[in-house]
Amino acid sequence: MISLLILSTLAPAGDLFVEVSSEALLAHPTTCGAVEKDWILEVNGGGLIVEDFDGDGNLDLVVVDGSTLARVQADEPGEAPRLYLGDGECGFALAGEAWEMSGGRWGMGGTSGDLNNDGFPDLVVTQWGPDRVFLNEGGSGFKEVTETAGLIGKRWGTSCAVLDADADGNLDLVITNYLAFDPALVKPRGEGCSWKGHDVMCGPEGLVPVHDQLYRGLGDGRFEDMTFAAGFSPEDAGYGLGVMTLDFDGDGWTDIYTANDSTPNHLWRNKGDGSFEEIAWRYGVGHDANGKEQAGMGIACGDANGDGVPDLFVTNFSGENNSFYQSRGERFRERAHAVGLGGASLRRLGWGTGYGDFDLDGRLDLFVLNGHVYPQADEAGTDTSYAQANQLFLQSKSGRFEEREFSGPARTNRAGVTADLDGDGDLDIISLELGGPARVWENTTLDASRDELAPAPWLGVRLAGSGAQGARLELSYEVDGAEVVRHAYMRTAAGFQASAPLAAHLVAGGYERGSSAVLRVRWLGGELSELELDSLDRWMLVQREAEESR
Amino acid sequence: MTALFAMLLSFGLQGGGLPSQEQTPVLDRLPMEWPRAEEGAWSDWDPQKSGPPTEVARGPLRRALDSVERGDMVSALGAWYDLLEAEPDYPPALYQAGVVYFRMRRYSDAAFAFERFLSVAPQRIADTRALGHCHYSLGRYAEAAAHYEEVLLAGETPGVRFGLGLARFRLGEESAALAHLERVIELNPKHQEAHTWLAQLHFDAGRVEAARSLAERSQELSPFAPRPCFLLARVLLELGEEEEADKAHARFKSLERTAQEVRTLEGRLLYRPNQPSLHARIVELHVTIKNMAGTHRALQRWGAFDPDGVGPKLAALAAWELLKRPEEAESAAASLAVVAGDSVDAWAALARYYRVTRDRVNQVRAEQRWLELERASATGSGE
Repeated sequence: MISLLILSTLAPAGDLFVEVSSEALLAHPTTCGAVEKDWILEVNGGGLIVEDFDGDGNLDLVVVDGSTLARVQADEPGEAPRLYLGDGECGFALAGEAWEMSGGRWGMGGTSGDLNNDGFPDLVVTQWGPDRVFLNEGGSGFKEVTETAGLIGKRWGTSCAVLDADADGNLDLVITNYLAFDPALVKPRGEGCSWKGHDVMCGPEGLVPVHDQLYRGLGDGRFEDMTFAAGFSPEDAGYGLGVMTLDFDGDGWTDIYTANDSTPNHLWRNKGDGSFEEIAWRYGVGHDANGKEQAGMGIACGDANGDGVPDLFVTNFSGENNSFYQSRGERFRERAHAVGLGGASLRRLGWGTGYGDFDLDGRLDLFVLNGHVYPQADEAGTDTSYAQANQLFLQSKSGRFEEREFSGPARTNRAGVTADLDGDGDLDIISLELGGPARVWENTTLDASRDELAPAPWLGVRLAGSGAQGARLELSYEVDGAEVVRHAYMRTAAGFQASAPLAAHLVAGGYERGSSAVLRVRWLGGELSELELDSLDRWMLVQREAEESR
Repeated sequence: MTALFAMLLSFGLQGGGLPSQEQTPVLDRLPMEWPRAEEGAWSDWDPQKSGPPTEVARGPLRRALDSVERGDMVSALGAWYDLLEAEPDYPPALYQAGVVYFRMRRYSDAAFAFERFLSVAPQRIADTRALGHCHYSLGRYAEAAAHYEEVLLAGETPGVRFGLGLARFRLGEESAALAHLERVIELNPKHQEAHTWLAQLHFDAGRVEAARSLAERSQELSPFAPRPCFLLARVLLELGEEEEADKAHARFKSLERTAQEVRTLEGRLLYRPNQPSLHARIVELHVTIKNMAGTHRALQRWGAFDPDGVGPKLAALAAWELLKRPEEAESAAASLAVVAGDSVDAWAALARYYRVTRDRVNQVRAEQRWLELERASATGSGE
């Protein structure tokens, strides 16, 4: 076998990220089938969910783990999801017995949110098999309530996200489903499926895509299926892998975007009356610029061009460019090449991704985690490789993204999430390797020794109370007499099989320290909170006023 | 699916009478293995004046050319490897190996072959536009643009100008891209892809009316290409012409479904061309959307691979009849009659064709032959 690792020839970004993974994480690699990858079931990897589960102010991490076909066939449970408690310094330790969760069938991804309105984040885990719900018992442990939670079916759930679709104060749930997989019916590798002349595992083409699901939350940890009642059922189902919540049209209702493998992506507009309509092609976010459907995996969503409207970024298969759907008025244009994100992705297969202002210069950047699905990518003539380097794209003043080296050797990475794990004001990254452990990458931008970067002031915001998920934030301040507004959207959705903390990170480029600034919080449902700030460079918690007085 | 094509597909699935083809080890090899010639060994090489290679190299050369003719890229590649081992750095072999790799979408290997070709025959830079395509396909747009610029110095063609325009577009240099693509259309007013990309460029820049007329022209030039329909649908939406946009989108979906399946099947044929059922399916797909040029190309490719086979000629007869092209159908029937031999399916199709076209003499001859074969078959099975 000839190894053709794609070696980075890029200038390092001064080691912006440094690996600081705790021994507890490295000691427990995840499982996702056999290393040969004879079946499509074995290539997605597990999931990452970041939130403060024990309420100590430090972010914690749930790693969703998988299984093997041999175990499933022997009716043995898969690896259990695991909670690691954070120490507030990028370190993680396995949580105690009260937080232990049992092994399910084959875990994939998950999300967190306060499903029962008790003030503590709960957990949803997707599976190849029945999806699962765990309630947080007051910050002291998880209790599985899957049996009574109302999630239906035994599909192959990949990503999921919470949202308040009907703005009733109870979190709802969207789950993307991949395809109907039955090892008795799907052909394994070596039985006729080839890629670039090499025998590979079969799928997704030729297999049956499965509809995504939308559930209405009842506010007590239970759900009601509203998939068909809400019209959340496209003409053609896609092979769902990634999910994102957003308000692309600024109407105050939470919309949904899904990345589909080898089928057009879907944009679901929330009509505000309990129903959704699928409008991806009309808005230019279903295909690439040539009208070709791509193999969508992960999604990043953020206001990259600073016009107050979200821009979408979707990772795709090798040989396809990652897509950058830039907002243009009402609709989007796919502009990956024009902003420097196209060519750099052609030889990579991207998964987890996210926006963040990693170098704190006032412009959103991107990280992309890469790795192929076929071990045969290391054979001759593929123009790619199985293990691949991750990528960091820093946005320049011109709006183009410049690729910088992301620390660490080439691996087969999958889910990824960004969060300020050490609370120092720069965004760190957690990655999950297929068949490997979760790794923590500390951002060193704000290290005392990095004065050359001249980071701009920043503000971290966490919201508490109903209407937080889907709230819109504006940080406004003056630069040379002109008002500058930075926008953020509160969500936990993190694209591919991952979930981020419910928090916003705003960077105030040009803001003069000591001058005044205003933070406006438009809670989901429309209520506005306005806070005068006399300093930035800190994390703050904003409680919804009406509830605070309650 | 028509009954005729169902029969053809089943014919194809039986193997079409050709030996099964296994994957060859040449696909596991890399061009870095090619031996190097002595420095300056090919410095006097001139394709117009240089004679054929040495005796030992003639065998692989003949095999390579035959394989290319038949569309058998894997065999062709094996022959080019043999030739380059017998005659290191033989420029035509380097070049042709690059072409084969490019067609197999092995762009790094193709780039290696073209770069080696240039290193031994630098005076032939005008022939290496495809090296720019390789860089482009690997996302190395700056290298692609630089190479196209060099090729352009050796002579302007619509192809190299088009490549340069696209590379500039990918680099975000939109005004340069615009100038190059407009020049392509000056050089070749029927360059469909240049119209499409210009339409895209104008659309991205918000010049929607200009995008519309270019997309419409592109559609006229290539009515079965999905991309102009997709672009036109998006342009019409921006112009508020929702109903027309929906129609264009529906047309796009129909064409793209076909194009996608054709791409997939052609991709498989690149590595294993001896799959008659795949050839038959590609012909059927083109016939379904009444794409004459596509049908012709698909039949030609199948016929080149299996020139004496019943399958491609049977498919040709079915296709041209369905497309109501009497002259092509007549020619296909005549070709089928030559190779029909003991094929019951072929004589049945011919008998039916001659009956429909009222060619009584040939109808009787075909029916008799069909009957004979059926009787023989029945007797055989009775035994």
